[in-house]
Amino acid sequence: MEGFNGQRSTVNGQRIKMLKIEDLHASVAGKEILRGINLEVKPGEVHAIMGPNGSGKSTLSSVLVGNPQYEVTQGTVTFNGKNLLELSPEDRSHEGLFLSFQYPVEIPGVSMTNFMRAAVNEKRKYLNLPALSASEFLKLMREKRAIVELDNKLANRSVNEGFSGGEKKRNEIFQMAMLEPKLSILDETDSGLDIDALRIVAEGVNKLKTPETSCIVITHYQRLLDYIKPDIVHVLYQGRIVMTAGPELALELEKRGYDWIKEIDN
Amino acid sequence: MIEIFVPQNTVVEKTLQLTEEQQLHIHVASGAKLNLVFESAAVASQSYHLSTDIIVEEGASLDLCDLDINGTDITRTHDLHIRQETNSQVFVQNISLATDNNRNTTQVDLCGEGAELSLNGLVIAGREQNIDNHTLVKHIAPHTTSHQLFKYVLNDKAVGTYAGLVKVLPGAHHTVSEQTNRNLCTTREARMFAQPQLEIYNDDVRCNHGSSTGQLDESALFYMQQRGISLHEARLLLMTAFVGEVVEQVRIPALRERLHELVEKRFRNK
Repeated sequence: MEGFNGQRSTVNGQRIKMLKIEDLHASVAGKEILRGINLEVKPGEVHAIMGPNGSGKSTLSSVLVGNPQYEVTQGTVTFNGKNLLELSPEDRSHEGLFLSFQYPVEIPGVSMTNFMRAAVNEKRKYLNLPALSASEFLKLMREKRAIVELDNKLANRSVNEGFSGGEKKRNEIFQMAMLEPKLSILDETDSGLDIDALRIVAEGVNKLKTPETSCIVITHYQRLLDYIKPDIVHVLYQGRIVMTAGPELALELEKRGYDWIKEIDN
Repeated sequence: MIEIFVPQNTVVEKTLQLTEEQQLHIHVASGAKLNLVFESAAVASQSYHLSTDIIVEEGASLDLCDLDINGTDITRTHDLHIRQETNSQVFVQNISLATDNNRNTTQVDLCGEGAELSLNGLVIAGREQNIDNHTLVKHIAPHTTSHQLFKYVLNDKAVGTYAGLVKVLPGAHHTVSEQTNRNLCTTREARMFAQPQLEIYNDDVRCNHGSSTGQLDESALFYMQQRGISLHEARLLLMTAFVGEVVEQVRIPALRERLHELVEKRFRNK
């Protein structure tokens, strides 16, 4: 059974960029939310994006995965050398982009098993790999479920239907484990989680980490970053990245809040 | 004309499968049990009318599936009339998958105390199909129960109609009645006409009815696309899930399996 992550991230020993965002502007319902985002993510890096409510954090993740509600008005996004903005949402997924949704969607009547089978096999088809047999698929489900301690009972239910907040977030990380993305965006994965669920989710993310895979963690709070250690921390404010520093920035934001950022920016 | 008579206390173990008959009389005598699949077999360019009369006596039970898997260019009307006596149980499924113009008119009279009816319908229509279900359920005796669940998926320029009347007559106290109609219009051109009606001439009853018509859930479609499922496949999964509720209620396991397959085939050959 071949995995999805066959691609090398170095060319002639040089680390190449995985994601490059240049001057990205985007709006929703005619209102401009992103006003010139620049960001580069290399393989193996963990970036945290923090910022006050309404600064554009969730818009950025939605735009990257191709949510049709958002319109890109300017700028470019390159993902492993490909023009990301030209790809359909499903092809972005096949190329290795994953979003852990802030609000995972309930899909009554569609079982987790059928949903995951469709997702895994469509990706394999895209990568010219044969579909998994029923037993290979169930084995994979079992292995990946263990990573986030997801109960078998949940795997047999409809997608997210009747799941608690914590179960939904664990289910997101389970799906991430199944799809083995190159770049995962965790959009406020910590919201609505108690401390035990937060630990399980964060440990799941850490177990999935390889030198080839990267992560963008979107969060309000330092709390999640105690578990998922960022290499670089950005502050997003009014649709632009106004500050970039090391992990110490997250601690400072936790202490001082966002008001001083707003003052510097104004 | 065909007549089927199931004698008293006779349990017909196997499901009886009939191709459509213009005139059909079924009599299930007291304590007897019959499972029947009534299957269309018309080929192209035909217009026809069917009439079915059924009596289900005291304590008897009937499971009837009216399965439309006709060819194209066909107009079909079916009048189904069922009379239920004391403590009888009837489960009817009207499955419309193919006929261009199809009208099912179903009337059930709950004449004996304790009679129970489930009347379900599933419609998958595309092209310029026109599918009607008219139902009339009369609660005549006390302590009678009726459940209706009709679900439509309308693609292309299909038009669907559900007109259902539940009538609780004087004296039919302790009636329990539920009437549910849910519809999906997957294109701008698809049309649904829904008319759920309830007439109650009695106190001391419990009756609910509701109808809703909507589109596929955009957020669910996008969620699936983010996981790599193509929009086309995501739509199929949602539509199949939507009608799955009706298929899951089918009580004959082999028929349930077959309906799952027919539904999948219908959606994929859209």
